[in-house]
Amino acid sequence: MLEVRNVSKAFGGKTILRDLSLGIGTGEIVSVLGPSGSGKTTLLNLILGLTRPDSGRILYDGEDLTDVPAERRRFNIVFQDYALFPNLDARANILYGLRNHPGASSAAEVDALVDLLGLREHLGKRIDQLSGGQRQRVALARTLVLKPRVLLLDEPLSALDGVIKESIKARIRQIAREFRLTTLIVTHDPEEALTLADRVLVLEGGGIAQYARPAELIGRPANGFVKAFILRQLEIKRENILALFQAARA
Amino acid sequence: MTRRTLLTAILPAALLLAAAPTLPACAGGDGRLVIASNADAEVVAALHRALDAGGFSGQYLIQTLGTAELAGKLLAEGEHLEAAIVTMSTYALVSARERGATRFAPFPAGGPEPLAADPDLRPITAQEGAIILNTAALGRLGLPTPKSLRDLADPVYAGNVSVTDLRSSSTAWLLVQALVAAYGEEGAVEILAGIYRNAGPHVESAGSAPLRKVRSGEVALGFGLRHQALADAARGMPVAVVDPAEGTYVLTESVAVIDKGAATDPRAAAMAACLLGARPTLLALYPTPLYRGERVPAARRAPTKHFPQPLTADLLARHQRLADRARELAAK
Amino acid sequence: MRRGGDGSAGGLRGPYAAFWSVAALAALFLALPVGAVAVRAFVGEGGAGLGAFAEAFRGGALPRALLNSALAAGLAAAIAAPAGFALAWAVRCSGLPRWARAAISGLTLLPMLLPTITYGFAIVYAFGRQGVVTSLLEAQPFPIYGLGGLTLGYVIYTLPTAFLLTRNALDYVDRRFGTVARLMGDTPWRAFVQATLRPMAGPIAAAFVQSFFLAFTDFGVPASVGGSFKTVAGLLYDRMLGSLPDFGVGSVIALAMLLPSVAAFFLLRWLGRAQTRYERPADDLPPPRNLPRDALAALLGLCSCLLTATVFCTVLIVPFVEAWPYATAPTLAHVRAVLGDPGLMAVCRNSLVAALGTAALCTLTAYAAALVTVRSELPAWCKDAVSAAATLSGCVPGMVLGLAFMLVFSGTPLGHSLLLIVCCNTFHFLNAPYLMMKGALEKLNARWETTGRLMGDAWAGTVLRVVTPNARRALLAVFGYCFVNAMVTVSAVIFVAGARTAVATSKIKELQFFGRFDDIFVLSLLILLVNLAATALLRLADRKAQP
Repeated sequence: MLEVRNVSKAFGGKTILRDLSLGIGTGEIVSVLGPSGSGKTTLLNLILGLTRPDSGRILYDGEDLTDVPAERRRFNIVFQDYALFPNLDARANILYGLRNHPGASSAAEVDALVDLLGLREHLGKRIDQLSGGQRQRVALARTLVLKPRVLLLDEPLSALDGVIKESIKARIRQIAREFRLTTLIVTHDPEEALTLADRVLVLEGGGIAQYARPAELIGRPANGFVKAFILRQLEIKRENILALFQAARA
Repeated sequence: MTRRTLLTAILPAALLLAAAPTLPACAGGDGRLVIASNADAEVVAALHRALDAGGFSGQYLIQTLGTAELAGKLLAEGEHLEAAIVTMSTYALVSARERGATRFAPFPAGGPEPLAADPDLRPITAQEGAIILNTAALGRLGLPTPKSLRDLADPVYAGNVSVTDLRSSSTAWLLVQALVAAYGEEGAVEILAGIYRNAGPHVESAGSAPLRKVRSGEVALGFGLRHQALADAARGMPVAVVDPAEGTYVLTESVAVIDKGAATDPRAAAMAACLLGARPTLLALYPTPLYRGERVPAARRAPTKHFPQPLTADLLARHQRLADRARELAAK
Repeated sequence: MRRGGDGSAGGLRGPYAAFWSVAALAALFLALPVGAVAVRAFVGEGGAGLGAFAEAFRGGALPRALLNSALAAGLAAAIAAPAGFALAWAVRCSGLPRWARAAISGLTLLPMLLPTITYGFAIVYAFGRQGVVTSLLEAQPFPIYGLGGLTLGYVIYTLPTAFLLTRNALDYVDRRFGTVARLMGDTPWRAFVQATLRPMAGPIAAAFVQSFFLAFTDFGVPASVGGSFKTVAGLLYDRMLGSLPDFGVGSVIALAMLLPSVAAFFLLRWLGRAQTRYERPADDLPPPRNLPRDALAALLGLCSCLLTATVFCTVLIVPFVEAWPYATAPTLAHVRAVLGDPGLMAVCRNSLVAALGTAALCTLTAYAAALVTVRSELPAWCKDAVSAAATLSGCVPGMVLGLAFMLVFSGTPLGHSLLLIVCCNTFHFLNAPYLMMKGALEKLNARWETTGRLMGDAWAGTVLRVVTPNARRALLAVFGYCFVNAMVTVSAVIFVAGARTAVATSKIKELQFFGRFDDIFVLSLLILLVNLAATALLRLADRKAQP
């Protein structure tokens, strides 16, 4: 269980997060949704340990991690641009963290992970020879070999083509289930957030607008912001798609 | 905190280690004594021969430098000068000593007494100034042969004269001394301005530059070092020397041992004395007697004159300002 | 454990080590010597005061020299900047064949591989009354002493830099602008103005300022063709060393020389900031066929090559004849004399060692400095201090730094050592390598250190394992830049080199004093050959480093 308790953070006098509290169950997938400037990235950095909160605590299974540096929290992230190391091939990227944590995964576990992510035939390739989806999976594998307790994904789908998006979504869900991995996904796309996550955290102006299951969010939006920001977008999308199918049928 | 400090100390060391191949070449590595000199190649060759004949072969290194660099280094570095022995203009050595930049250690030298005595220094050469000509160029341009320094200011020579700048070259002092002694300071400024006007862009910073330009025909005449021009003429180049009517002035160059206190190389005094063994060779190159009993064939001897006042740094500064005025006058 | 302000304390140990290394080196080899010069300007043998200032400004020589320098440098920059751009355009935007573009680049950049002091002599031997060109034309094409020769020398000196700056900037101008302009019906000229000249205005101005700065502080060219046209560099040399050295006055002149340099520097920074940034480099599509354009490009290239060839042919001819201009029979005697002279060969060896050392130390320092400013989370004062040091190094003319080193380090164990030459060169050159490194490191993914840290790396670990391998092309380029510059620099090194540590360029200055021009040209040729070899090697390495 990951807990964020009464966390506030300001940069240069500007409040980014205000007295924010939430809890995420182990193995749960939570997506964080909000317009730019709503504090998504800051929340991510706070949980990771890259930024310290001005006040409030961050706990994992009751252990206070607020003063534990990022590298010792055993949390990890896949950045939007993957931050792969282009001087190393796919295999070396995946195995990179094992140099510092030799016992984190056994060779068999790494093999299994490589197969799970369908990377077997790409292991010897340079990063610039990989497609966007393949890079995404290499970055995921690189993180997963270290068996993080919490996995953060920053805009994991934004750089991918439509067809690949759906398969990656499925893969993320599969991994979270298989490893019972607490997963936090930051996105700006409501469709992505609602179809991928067990629960959705909607941020607005440094506070929580709503934190609920997708169905609940659709059925009972907590306020006008959630309605305008999320439901409206989804409705337009649905109408467009329905119109397309009806036109095709006619 | 301690680990950080340690790392902080290690990285610069690592950076410097990257340059480690350069370390063995640090000064003082080979035990050879450095002699700094601004003398010409022939003089340096004569010094080499004298030292080798004196049994110092392989124990010394002669570093040749321009006059300006050597004077600057002597003043800036004083007793920290890399060289143990210096040979350069007597007035520059005396001036460095007067300004307290450095001290010299007297060295015992046998043989005849120098004509001008100084407890710390021994003269080795005398530089004389003279009018130098490229006879071929002069003939091609149809120009008359000058007789005096005053003639160099004659507008007929415009663009065809090369002289040196007193700010950078001591050769120019020979010209200025002659003019001041003959015409007084104001007269000298006027004539000098005329010469600068004729020289235009050919006011050089190195004493050997006017001869180089005369030799190559870049200019037809100039004021340069007499012995160099004589050497050129002897080699069959179209170069000739005219001893000016105002007289030929002299600047001597001397040997000095830098007093570095306890760090003074014990071999320095003996080597300095040994350098004087080059005098016979040098007298043949620079035909001016500097020691009692030295003789020069009359045909090579110049009508030498000496400036009425002692050649001090103050006098040079005074003459430099005078030359500056002449340049400003010429620029108008 | 150290508690940082932002929870990243553990990650700051490495960055602090890098910072303090750069800071310690910069304090010792930049701030201390420059400070010593400033003090000399106010405190003379007769105590503190403004006496040196009064003496320096007496007679108006200093203001006149400043004006002269500004005039010659301004003229040269006004020629070099547009000419550099024109050549960059010919190389980057024309349809000339590959070999032609390579030839233009190569010959335009050639002078960079030679000491500036050699250009001056080359000009004299090419265009002087007895020069190679003069004797071919049977008339002197223009007066070479004074403003004319100085400007020509400066143009040759600064053209390669102007060319490089504008060529690199052209790579970032989006070619699609040109396509769009043409599609909207613009004439070729208007399309050129809109899509090329406009976005290049900043870089051309920057090339102007950079050329001005280089020429203003150069000492090599005026030493040979200045004539009676006194520049600040020449004045500084005369007063600081001259027949009656006066360090007080010299220091005042050094400070006076620093002022325009500082101004030029900040102007350059401002221009860099004002410049339009283009995210993506231009694509490598071949430009459309256009015969008049290519003919113009070929003409420009030919002019540049002709200029370089005429001036530098003397360097190739003079050392191989008996005694130019009187005995023009070919001979290898001079070359043999130099190669057989153990003194001169020792000097070449020193040059090589000093250049390698400089390349290593300067690259490391610039890399560490750039890591601190763009790839660390150190507090702002650290980053400001590092960029201030780099800025100062960009403003201090080499002569001033060399003199300062002489005043500070003689008598210390470092005095006259090759290591001191290496340190002096490092802080003489640091600014450009720092900017090159900074630019390269900024382009790399900003998340690598965080990613590495989350996988258990210390900052230094990620820097070594990830950042460095990915910056290797920039590191190679910086290494080459430092090496070549260390081989050709004369201004600072003449004051630092000792009897056993003379380098080729300081030897050239000395040979000039004794008028041994054959040896000067042979040494210059050797420097050129070493630089060509080094450039070729680095090219090969770069090709290997390319993904």
